[in-house]
Amino acid sequence: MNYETVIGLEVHAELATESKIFCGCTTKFGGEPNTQCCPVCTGMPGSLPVLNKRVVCLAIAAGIATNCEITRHCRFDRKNYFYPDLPKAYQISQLYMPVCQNGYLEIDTADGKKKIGIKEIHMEEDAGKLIHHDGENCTLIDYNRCGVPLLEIVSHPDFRSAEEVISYLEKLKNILIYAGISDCKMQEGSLRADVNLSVRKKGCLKMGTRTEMKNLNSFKAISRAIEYESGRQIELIEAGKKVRQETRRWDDAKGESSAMRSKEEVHDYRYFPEPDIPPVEISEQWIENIKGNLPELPDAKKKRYVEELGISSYDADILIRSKNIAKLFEETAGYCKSPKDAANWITVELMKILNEEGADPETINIDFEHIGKIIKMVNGGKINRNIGKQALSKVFFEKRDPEAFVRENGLSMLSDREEIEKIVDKVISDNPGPVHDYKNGKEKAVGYLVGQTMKAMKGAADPSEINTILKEKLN
Amino acid sequence: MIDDKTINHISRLSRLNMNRAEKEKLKKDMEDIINYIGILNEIEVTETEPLPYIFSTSNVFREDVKKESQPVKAVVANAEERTENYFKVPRTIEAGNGK
Repeated sequence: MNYETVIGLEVHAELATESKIFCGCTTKFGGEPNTQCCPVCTGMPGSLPVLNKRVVCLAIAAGIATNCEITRHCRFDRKNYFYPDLPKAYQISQLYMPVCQNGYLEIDTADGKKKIGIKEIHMEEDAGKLIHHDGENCTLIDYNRCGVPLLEIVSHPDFRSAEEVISYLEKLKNILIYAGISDCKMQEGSLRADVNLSVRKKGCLKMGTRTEMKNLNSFKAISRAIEYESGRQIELIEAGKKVRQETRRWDDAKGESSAMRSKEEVHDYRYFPEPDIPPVEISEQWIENIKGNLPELPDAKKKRYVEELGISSYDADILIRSKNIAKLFEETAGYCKSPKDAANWITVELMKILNEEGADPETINIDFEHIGKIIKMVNGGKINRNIGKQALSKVFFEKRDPEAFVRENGLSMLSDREEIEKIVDKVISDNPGPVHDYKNGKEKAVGYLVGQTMKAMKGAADPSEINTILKEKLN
Repeated sequence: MIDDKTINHISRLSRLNMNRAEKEKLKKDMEDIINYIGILNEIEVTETEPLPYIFSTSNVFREDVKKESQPVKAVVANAEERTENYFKVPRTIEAGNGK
C-alpha cells in the first residue's frame, strides 16, 4: 500500500532585539543562571509588562517577507498553563488576532516550484530553561530565556517529504537572517521547529491522526525524525493499530522518538485577551515604512544577479544561500569590476576551502579587497590561477594580503621575455635526455620540460607561454 | 459548595499554608465569589459585544533598550529550594518545555 506523509511546521525564531519582549532585561545568550531577570519576566505580583516596539516591527517585517497580510488590529492573549518553565503560570502569546496571516513561501522541489502556505505568525515570549536531574530527582530552572521575544511561524500542512521541509526551513532561515529578524543560530536555540506529522493512504483526502515532535535542533535531526516518524506510523497502521495523538520527543543520539504526553486540546489553555497589554493598531504608514526599509531579500537578490550581473542561476543560488557570502560577492564584484570572476572565485575556490574546512559561510570573515586583488592579479596576467588559489588559501587561513604574499615569495609571472628565455635555456641544457627524446619525435617530453621550467620559476608563469618558447627553441 | 477537600487542594496548589480559621473564612469567601459568578451568568448578553479591554488606549510601547536586571540574589530570594543560583523543583515528569 502506498502512503503519503503530511507535515506541518511550527517554527520558533528568537528575535534579534537587545532587550526582552516586555522588560529591559538583556536577551544575550549564555549568561549565568537567573542573572538576566527582573520582576516582570519572573512574573512577580504587581509588575506590569510593556511591549517592546521593535518586536512588533520585526514581526511586521517577517510578515512582509513571507507574503502575509498584516493584521491591523492585533492583540495579545493569555495562554494559561501550569508548568515551571514560566513562573507566571501563563504565557503572553497571540491566539485570536495574530500579527500576520495567510502568507506563503515558494520552495524548490524535485518537481519544480511549490507554494507552502503560512497560516499565521504570532508574537510571544519564550519560556525558561529546565535542566532535569536524573540522579537527584529534581529539576533546576534558569529563567534567563523567559521573556525573550519569539515569532511562531505556523505553516499549513503542505509538506509531503523531509526534503520539502528542509527546503522551506533553509529558505525561511535565510529570509529571517537577511532581514535582520533573527540570527537563527540553531545551536543556541534561536531557531527551533516542531513537526506535526501524519500519514494517510495515497489518494485519501481525510487527514490521519497526527503527532507533534519536539526537541529538533538541527536540519539533519528534523530530516531523520521525519523519516523515523512516518515509518513508525505506517508500521502501526499496517499492523492494524491506531496512531495516538501525542507529543513525541526526538532523541537524536538514539535516532528514535518517544511519547511525552497526550497533546492538550486548545481549550485546556483557557486563552483570553491579555489585560496587561493594550491592543496594537498597525497603520498602513507603519507597514509601508517597514517595507521601505527592508533590505533586499534572497529571491530579489538572485533575480538581480542573474538579470543584471550575468551570473548563472546555479552560481546565484550558491551566492544567496548565505547573507555573508552574498555581501562578500557584491563587495568583491564592486572592487574588481568583474561580477562573473567574483562569482567564479567565490562559488568554486572559496566554497571548496569552506567545504574542506567545514566552515560556516555565515560566520567567516574575509576581506573583500583580498579576493578582489587576487582576481585583478589573475585577470591582469600578473599571476596564474594556481598562484591565485594559493593566495586565496593564505587569505582564508592567515588573512594575508595577496599582493604582499605574491611579492614576498616572488610569485608574479615574469613579463620580461629575456628573463624567461634564460631560465628555459638553462632547463634545456640541464635536461639533455628529454630534449633528445623530444627531438626524436617524443612530443610528450616537452611536458616534462614545461614542468621543470615552471618549477624553476616557482609556478609563477603561464604554462602555455613556456610551452611556446620551449618549442620555438627546440625546433 | 466548597468543602474541606477542595480548600485543601487549592491551598496545596497555590502553596499557601492556612490555619483552620483562615480556611473557614476562605471557604465562605469563595462560595460568595462562585455565587456572584452565578448571578453574572443569568444576565442576557447575546446582543452585547465583548469588551476585552477596560481602557481605550492602544500602542503602548517601550523602546528596545537594555536595562539592568535584578541582582541574582533577589531573583532567587523567594525560591523554596535552590541549588547555586538555580530554582530547584521536584523533577517534572514530562520532559521538554511545556508549550
